[in-house]
Amino acid sequence: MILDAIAATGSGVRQVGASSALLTRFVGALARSTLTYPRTAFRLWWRAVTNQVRFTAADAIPFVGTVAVAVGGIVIVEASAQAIKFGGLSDTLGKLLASVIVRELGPLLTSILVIGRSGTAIAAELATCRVYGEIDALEAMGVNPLHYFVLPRILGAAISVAALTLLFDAVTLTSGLLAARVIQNISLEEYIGSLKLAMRAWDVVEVTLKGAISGAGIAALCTFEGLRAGRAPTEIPQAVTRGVVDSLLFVVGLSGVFAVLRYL
Amino acid sequence: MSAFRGHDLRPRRPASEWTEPVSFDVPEGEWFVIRTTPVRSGELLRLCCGLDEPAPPGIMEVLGENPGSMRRDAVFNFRRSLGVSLQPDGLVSNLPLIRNLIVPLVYSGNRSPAQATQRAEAVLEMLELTNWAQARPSELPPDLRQIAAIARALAPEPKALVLEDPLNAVRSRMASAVLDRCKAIVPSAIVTVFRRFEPLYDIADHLVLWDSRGFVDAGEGVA
Repeated sequence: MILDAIAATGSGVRQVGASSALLTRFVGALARSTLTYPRTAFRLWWRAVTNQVRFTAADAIPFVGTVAVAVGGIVIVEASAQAIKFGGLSDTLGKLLASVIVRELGPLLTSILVIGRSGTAIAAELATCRVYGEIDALEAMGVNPLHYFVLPRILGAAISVAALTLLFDAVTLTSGLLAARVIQNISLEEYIGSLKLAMRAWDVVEVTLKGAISGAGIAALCTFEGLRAGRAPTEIPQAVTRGVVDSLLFVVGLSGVFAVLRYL
Repeated sequence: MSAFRGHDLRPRRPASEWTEPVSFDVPEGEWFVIRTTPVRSGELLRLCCGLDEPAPPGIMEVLGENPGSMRRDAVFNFRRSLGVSLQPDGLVSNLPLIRNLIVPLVYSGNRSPAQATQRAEAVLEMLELTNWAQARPSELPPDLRQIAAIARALAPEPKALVLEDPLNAVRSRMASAVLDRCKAIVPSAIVTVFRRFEPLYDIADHLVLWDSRGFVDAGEGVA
């Protein structure tokens, strides 16, 4: 039994190692393929990027907006309950919103929503293309699938997640204001003043950067898993699952890295 | 020079039904037709396109080059000299037919979108598919879908064709007409076929049967 456990652990480690090696090669190939992007394809490339932005960002605005409204309200309601114990909400409101929502929850939740909505779609689409021979056919015609399928999605997703993160933060802060007014009767001036004290201009840059890196990472991992799929239709859901798990680990890890860097 | 030359070829995949190495030489200007199984066909044509590498010490040369030994970028450049139609046809399902022809032309870096559109329109017209230019692959009848895959293979003006069981859903007379046009444009080809299909037998310069015994020559000058 112990030997079985050791064998299973060894097999798991080997699989993770093999996947990591493949991913490293994929990232290397991506970097190289940006340098060899055919100039004649820029118009088609731009169209693919804008399509990705429309699907990932524009079409997701109602969904992300709804979640943001709810999150803003929930955070203020919970904060009000705690504030009764620890003093007035107006003192800590700005710090709470800046640290919890703007810097952490906003980018993280937006990324998770994008993984659920667009990452799955990207992985499923590419895995389906693999199963139906579309990727092989294009490769056989001399088209680098990284040029056609991957790079536009990475740029499109990076722009989309950065924009959606800013939108999420803005909507959450607005709904937080409404909730604070209703629950704690905090005025607009008080609310904005508190936020101004707690936030810096750099926060906007950091959040945008974090969103862009998250988006690029989600698209890269989901395309990687989609392209890795085999030829059987049963590989499609497996590729989607792997894409979601990889992406979630990536965005949580990225949040951790940014948090550590902020307080270094 | 040989258009396609395989020496001691065997796939890397150990579970393949293709166990014995095969060798062949297709001179330029010849249509080489192989009647075989879908598994052997798929594996051989993937080697021809450089999508897979042969098991050592096998060598696959296409138009004087060995795609198995090339770097990734060089393989993409090499493939641009081939017109390929494999099974499944691999037409991109979310693109209209004309864009299925334009995308490979533009992404190969040799044509601007305007030039690619012009070339795609010309090929569609040659194969009488102009009316279907804006149709998605799933909207095409099976026979026209196979002709569309041939159109995509012809669009880059390849030096050689690699075709897997082409046109088997097309009526014999129409298939013969399409194949005649293909042969007039591209004189070298390696074509596999899974069952007796007269139009391909008629057009073949060299026809072989490939089964567990290896290549069994069906004779030269069949055409």
